[in-house]
Amino acid sequence: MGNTTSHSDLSVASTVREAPANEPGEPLSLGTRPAPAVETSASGLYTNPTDGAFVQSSSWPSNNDSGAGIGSSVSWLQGGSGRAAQPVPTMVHAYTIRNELNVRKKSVRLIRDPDNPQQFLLEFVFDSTCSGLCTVYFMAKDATSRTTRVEQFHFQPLDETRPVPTPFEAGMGQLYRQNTHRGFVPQKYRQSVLFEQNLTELSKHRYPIVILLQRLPNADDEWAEQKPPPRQTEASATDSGRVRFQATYVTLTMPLKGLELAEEIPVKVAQQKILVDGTIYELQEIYGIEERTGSPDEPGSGPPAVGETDELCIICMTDPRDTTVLPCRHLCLCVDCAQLLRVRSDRCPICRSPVDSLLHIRNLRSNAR
Amino acid sequence: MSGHLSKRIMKETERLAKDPVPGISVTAHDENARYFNVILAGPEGSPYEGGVFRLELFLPADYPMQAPRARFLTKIYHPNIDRLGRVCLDILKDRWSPALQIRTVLLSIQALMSEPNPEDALNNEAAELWKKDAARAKEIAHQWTLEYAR
Repeated sequence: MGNTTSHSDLSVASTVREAPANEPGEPLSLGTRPAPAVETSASGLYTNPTDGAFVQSSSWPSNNDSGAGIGSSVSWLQGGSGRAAQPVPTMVHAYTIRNELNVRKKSVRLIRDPDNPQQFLLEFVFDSTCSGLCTVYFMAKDATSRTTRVEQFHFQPLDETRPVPTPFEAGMGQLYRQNTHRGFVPQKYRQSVLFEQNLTELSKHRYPIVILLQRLPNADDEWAEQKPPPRQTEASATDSGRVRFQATYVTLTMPLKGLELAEEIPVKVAQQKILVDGTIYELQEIYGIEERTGSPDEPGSGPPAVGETDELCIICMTDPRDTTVLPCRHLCLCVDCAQLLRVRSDRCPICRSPVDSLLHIRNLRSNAR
Repeated sequence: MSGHLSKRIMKETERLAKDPVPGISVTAHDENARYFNVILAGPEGSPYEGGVFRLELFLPADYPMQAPRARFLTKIYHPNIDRLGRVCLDILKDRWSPALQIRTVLLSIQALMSEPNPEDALNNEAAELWKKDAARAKEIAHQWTLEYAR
């Protein structure tokens, strides 16, 4: 596909299945929900409409600072996975699925409304292979239910008026721009709450901006009526394995003081999550996957020819890269050499950080088309 | 021994021939594809400038899981290279990674010639002098270059 999707949107998802809250000892929380259990069976891997691959995995104790938002988004998991590295890393196999909804992380902007300078309007680019609804929440609490099977995200904005979802059609690179009467008015909120770098801290309070994309199963008739999200019974069999929601958590990158006259408030995407088959996954980047899936910024360029250095396994220089080192998320190995690395080394070839496990992405190649 | 890994050696050798590094010549031995004759030009601005240094490089059986072995055949006065030509370089030891290659190893050795590290000495005498009187040490290194590295 020759559509443009930025590289930064390539992500990995780690499972955050809600467990019944019976683990008071868990030091960390996700959202406002205490004690998310980190699921250990990794099986879901995930691809963007055009390029990315997302995986779920058991643990991400990350010391990797690269990628805006990634550092902060992993920190909350450290408590749950702070165990010592295994002598021989486990080999984990994953399959890829398409991400049908995606907000491009680098496209999110908060721009001053020229007609009403008190407020700022949210703008971002997103991709969707289906029609659906987009809802923007300001200063929202994550009130998603803590059942074992999660049916939908649930956000509570600070002011009780529920935001009105905007319908969208299928399409790549769609621009969303907020209606003028629904903008973000920073004066309404406490400064200390607005600006919080630490996501764990932030999640105890409220997220400044949450963008929720929702796919509608049989969209065309339904979104006109703006029905509530379908219940489990309504979810058709074809819904299985498909992304129903993507939530994008946006934070401000600097205090508002000094920005009184600025045309734009700097923001960044702190985290993205998707909901598939009743499970919430956190999206995280895989480093090196853009070489494998071709440059989407050049329409028609397609995936690079086999034989180009960057897409080949760093060890044998012969087979395509299809295995990612975890937790550092460097996609640099073929599955054969990954097996070799498991027994011969405990360090990532790229960054030398300890290897916890290796994730084989089975159909990465076919998804690159 | 995986066939994969021998393929890597072939690829590296091909690539070195096709796209050589300036100032470095690498030739595989006729009868042993894991043994290489290397010629390094002394880096500009270093006491080794103008010298031509011969090295041998050997890839162990489980390369690239294990680092290559490199040794100077040309006599050189350097804090991190001993009289047998052995090189003290972290990436040839505990800092080795299979992401590194023959090319990167030789570039690192060239960089080490430009920037000796007397704190991590293999040739103690040279290292001491380098710390005490760098100018004098460099003069000796230059003399050795003129004498041996022709």
